[in-house]
Amino acid sequence: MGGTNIELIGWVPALPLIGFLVQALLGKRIVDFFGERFGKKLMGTLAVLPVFAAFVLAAGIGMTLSEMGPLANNQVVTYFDWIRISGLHVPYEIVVDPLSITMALVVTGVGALIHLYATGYMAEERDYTRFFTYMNLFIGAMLILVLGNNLALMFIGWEGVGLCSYLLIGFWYKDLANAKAANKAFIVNRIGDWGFMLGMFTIVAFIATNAERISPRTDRLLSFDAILPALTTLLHDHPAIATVIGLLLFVGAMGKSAQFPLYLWLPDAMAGPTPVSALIHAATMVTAGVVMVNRMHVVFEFSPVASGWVAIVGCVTAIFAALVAFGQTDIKKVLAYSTVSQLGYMFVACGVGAYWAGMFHVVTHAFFKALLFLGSGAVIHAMAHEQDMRWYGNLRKYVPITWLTMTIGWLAIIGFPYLFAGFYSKEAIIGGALGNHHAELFGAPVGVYTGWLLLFGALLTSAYMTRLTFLTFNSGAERWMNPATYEEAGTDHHPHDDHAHAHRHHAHHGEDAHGFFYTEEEMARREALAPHDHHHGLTVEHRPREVSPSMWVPLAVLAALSTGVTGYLMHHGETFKHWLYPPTTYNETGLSMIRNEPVVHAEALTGHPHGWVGSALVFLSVGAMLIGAIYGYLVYFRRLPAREGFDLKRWSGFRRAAREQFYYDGFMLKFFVTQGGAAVGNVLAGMDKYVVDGVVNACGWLASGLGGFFRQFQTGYVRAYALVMLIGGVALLVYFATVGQGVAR
Amino acid sequence: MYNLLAQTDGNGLAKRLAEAFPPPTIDWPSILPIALVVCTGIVALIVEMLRPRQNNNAIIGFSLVGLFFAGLSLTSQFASPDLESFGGMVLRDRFSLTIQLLVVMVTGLTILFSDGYLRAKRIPFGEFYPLVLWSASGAMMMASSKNLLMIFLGIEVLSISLYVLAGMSKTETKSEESALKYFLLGAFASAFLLYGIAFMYGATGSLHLDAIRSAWNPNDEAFRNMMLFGMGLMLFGLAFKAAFVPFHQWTPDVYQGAPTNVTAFMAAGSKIGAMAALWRLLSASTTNVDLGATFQSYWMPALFWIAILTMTVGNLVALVQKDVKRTLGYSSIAHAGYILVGILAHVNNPEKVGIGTTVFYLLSYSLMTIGAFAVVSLTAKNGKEGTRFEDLHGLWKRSPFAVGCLIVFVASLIGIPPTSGFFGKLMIFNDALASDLMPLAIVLAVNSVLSVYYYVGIAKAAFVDAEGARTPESAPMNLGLAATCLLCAGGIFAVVILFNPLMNWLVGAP
Amino acid sequence: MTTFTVLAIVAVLAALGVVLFSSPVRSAICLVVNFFVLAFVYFILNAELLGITQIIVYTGAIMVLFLFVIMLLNLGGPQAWKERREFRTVLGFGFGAALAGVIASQLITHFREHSRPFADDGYGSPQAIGRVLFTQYVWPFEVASVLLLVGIVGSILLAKRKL
Repeated sequence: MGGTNIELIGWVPALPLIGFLVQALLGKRIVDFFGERFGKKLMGTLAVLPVFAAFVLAAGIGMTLSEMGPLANNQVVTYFDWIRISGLHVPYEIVVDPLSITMALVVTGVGALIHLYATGYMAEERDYTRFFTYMNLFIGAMLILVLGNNLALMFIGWEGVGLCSYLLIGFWYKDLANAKAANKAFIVNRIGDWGFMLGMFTIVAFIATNAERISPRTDRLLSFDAILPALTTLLHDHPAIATVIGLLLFVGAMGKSAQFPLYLWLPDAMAGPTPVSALIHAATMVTAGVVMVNRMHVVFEFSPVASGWVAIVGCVTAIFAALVAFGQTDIKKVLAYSTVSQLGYMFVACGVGAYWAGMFHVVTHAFFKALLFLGSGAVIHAMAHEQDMRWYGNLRKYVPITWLTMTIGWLAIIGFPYLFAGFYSKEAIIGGALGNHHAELFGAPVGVYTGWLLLFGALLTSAYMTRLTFLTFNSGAERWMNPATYEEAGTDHHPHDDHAHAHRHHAHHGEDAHGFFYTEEEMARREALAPHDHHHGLTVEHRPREVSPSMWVPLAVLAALSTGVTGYLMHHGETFKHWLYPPTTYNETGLSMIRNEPVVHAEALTGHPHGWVGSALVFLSVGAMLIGAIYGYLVYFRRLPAREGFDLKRWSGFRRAAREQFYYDGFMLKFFVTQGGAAVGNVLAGMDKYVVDGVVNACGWLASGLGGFFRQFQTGYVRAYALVMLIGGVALLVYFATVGQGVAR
Repeated sequence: MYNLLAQTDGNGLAKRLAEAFPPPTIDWPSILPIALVVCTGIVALIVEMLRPRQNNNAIIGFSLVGLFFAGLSLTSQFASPDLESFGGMVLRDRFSLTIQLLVVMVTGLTILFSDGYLRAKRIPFGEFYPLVLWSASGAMMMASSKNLLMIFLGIEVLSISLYVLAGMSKTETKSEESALKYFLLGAFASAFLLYGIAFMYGATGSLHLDAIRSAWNPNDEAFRNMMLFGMGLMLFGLAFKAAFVPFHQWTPDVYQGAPTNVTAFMAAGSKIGAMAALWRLLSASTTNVDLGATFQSYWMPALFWIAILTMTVGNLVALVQKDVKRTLGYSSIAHAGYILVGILAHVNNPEKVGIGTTVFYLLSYSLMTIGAFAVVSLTAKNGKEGTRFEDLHGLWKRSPFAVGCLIVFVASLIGIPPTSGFFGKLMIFNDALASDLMPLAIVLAVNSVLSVYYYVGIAKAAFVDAEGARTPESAPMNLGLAATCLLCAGGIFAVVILFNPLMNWLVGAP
Repeated sequence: MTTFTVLAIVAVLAALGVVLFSSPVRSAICLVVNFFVLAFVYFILNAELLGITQIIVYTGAIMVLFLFVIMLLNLGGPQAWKERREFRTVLGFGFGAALAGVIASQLITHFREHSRPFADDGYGSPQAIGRVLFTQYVWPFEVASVLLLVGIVGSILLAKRKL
């Protein structure tokens, strides 16, 4: 495979897109033709195959690339012209470099595994082919995002994955909660998109206005291979512009990657099927922001301020989401907040200049978080679609394979030293942050502070993940078998079930499930119309069974990838760092990306901290991990369940607040949707009433005040319209007459 | 000299006749598309006459074939050189061919989805098809001439057909009301347009825009005033057709009252015609001769403000509408404002900004508008039609395909990448910046954000479950409608994917 | 000049009559007068054919049809078009007057300078018009026929309730 032609890269996104077309156009026909059983098997295979083929192809190209050496490993394959308007040329072109190939491998590799898993998970689904249609389209769009050699293509992919995410969150569109979650994701992402677009426009405008300073001149103002060197030259003298562009792009990244103010949509997005959560909302799409920041790192290199904000936002997200995770009882929600938190880690890495560490965590996180989600899916599958951890317990007896793999995932995410992948990437991030001098706000080295905070975050991660794992798999009692549990939970218990389309907004989600579009009355009406179709599948007699091989094989593969072997291979000798940012092209620090330029912050950009912190880092992070795990085990597994049971009312204030995301979501909802919406509505209603009709009516009022000869106010509409037109015409002519005179004088 | 026939002595009569009646240069291909469309309409009328009260499949088939050939003849002329024939009455250039092609496309799409709708609405007239075709021919005439007389005639052919079409639904009073409203106001505006043309003619002695352009002389006060008034009055008339604020108030009423397929044609075809005429008028009303003030320095500020008003008012009022067709009507006003920005950008700096933007935007606008109206037309049943937002409820369950397409149209109307609507707006934005119309670019950007709210509302309405018996059960999806939706939705992406080849073909290499 | 002044005054009065009379018959008759007087204005401008056409087509054919229709439909009652004097009417008149005022104020002084407000002999003769109509204006001529066709089909379509 070593000799795979790089030109073939076009097939990597094309294959899933072909798969998408096959699924979309033929899927239903084939299933109808071959019958439910065989047809679904066939379509499932046809869904997995193109993704897998794309993976093999990408792997081959990756090998070719690695043999080419660092000087030649930035290839651009141009296919054809796309947009050519005055001063702007955007071709269809694909970039083949370590960053894009790494992401392509992750997307296709993890994607293929999750597709395989989904063939089992979705087997009973009626809209089987619709699901895989979206999934294949998603893979295609994601590949365009990571492989496109210009911001426009990246943006197309960016929107494409957003669309697929929207469609897949709302896959069970009949469920109100799903539809609302989809709408929320849609709207929140628009904010991010505007940031991205404005950033894009700023870059084009900036380069176009300084076109004479860059050589060779180019009108491919969006292509990375043209603009990155250009920005390197130009931004040197314009750090303020670097900050503007950086912050705008980061707003885009915040939307897609669910960073603090805009994270709202991601937890709700878990309403979609579990493979979707694993693929889109954990492993690939949400890391697009990190990929983008890596791609555009030149901009951030020149702006310590923008970098500082990236680090701060990432850090706030990491801690905040970790705290919220303590209040969740839904297994998928815990994982969702954990994802948000881990994304925060990646952004801190990017903020402090350790871009490679961010990517490193993207890769390892893709493995272990996909594993955890798929594992949780297996658990949910086994537990008759109950997602609430309070009903679990002692599952390792029933689903041993899932338990084993999930345990590996747990050890990976909490960063168990040396043996698991998460340890390496997390340590790289924290180390990078502690040694940072790049991110700077108001003269303060914020990177260092974030490093210490992330250590605390690691402690939290360790605690809530321990809580999740132990509540699910351990403890002697199978809680769902205990009638007391049902009694105690009382009306509170509605098994959440992403298959059964349950409507439960009051019990488990609190305010956060309120979408942006539905008022209370609308919700009530809809609830009345579509009565709850909970199937209370979970009964005292329920006996979970291990899932089928198509589901546990991907788990096993991902578990293998989450072990320390991966991390070690990538970390040892800084392989991954040098792969992404080769020291021969870039500076020896591995982090200054400014080609042919003196290093900006020579000593500041080192990957590892010097002095005592460097040597003590391992101990610090292992300590945090251990404290967290023990705390989680003792408090959240041993003590609290025994003391508080399952009654939410007996929870402590902290965890009740955490459950409601510290009331942030409710606040946003109230502030922007209810209040803001009403205000906007009133203003606009007024506009309609007074401004539009008002031109005529106001004249009427004026007249009735003056003479009173106008009594009845009966509108002949046509005449009113004609009058307005006439007034407009007179205004036009009077204007012309005036300017005519004016110029003549 | 003019009692020439008296002088004839039988010797060389033909020669003398030819001298006295010099035949204009005639280039048949350049009027072939229009002639084809008109004749197709006539034959369709005859077919209707021969087989009254039967299904309209033959008429539809015939109309589509006629349109296809008209499109073919247009396409084959893209390589031909620019040419004026018929004494300067017919002009063939890139712009005219492209616009005519757009009109043909729009007409075809409208006809494609009309049958099912007319059935559901219990409108039994086969005359619909000839009238639409003739209306389209009017729009084509407007685009294919630089002569004000032809532009006026084109507008009248277009409008009179539309007045009739708007009133076709006899089961609803609002349809007749809208026809009357449209007719009265349209006549009002036409009078102004004609008055303006008379002024232009009075000032320059010609109806040809090139002659008018070269006659511009700001230092002759009488001439200048006549030209300015002529321009103002013509803008009045064209602004009515294009629905610019403050000449827009008919739009929502007529759009709401007219049968939905007619509305679709009105929103797309009629607007294309009006924009083409406006483009011709404005780009011919630019001078940069060294005579002191240029012509455009007088009218540009006025149109600048009209553009701002049109975009803003259209979007603001759309926000509070409760009826889908009204909302789309206001949205079409807003889009007219965007297109006007594109035209102004071209006029302001014709060297930098070509016709590409306007053409592309019109193309993308037609696709999404026709598509959106086509989906809305699904709410008709048993001679009734509910077009309030509530009436779309539950559409998702009844015809998920249509709603899927509706999402595409809405996304494009909002301007979400990678739809054509986004690219259109981006190009206009870009052009506005390139020709120093920064304020317009900003207003445009702000307005696109504003519009998200009501567009999403349309898509949302389709997803809400139906409730109560108020909603008429919608007509079942029929083949024509599905084809229209598919073509429009596919087209929205196709024009983006094939952007460069398409633009090269339509407007020539950049 | 005096001829023109007289004709103009009559024409304007007749036009006002069209708008202000509440009985449709009277309005229509005023319109006849107006068209007729306009034809005379064409005559003094040396556009004989135009004037004759005006009389034959508008005064003769169209207006007679108008009157026929009005009488057939029996709209003669004075209450039929009773209008309220509402403010909008006044506003409309005001702006209409403003429009005329703006145009007149800018142009009338310049027009007064022209000493010969009429065309050359034979400018509007049937031969001359025929010549341009079938050479230079042949395409608009044909298009106008399409316009008429549209008008015919359209009016039948709107009028027919049942075929």
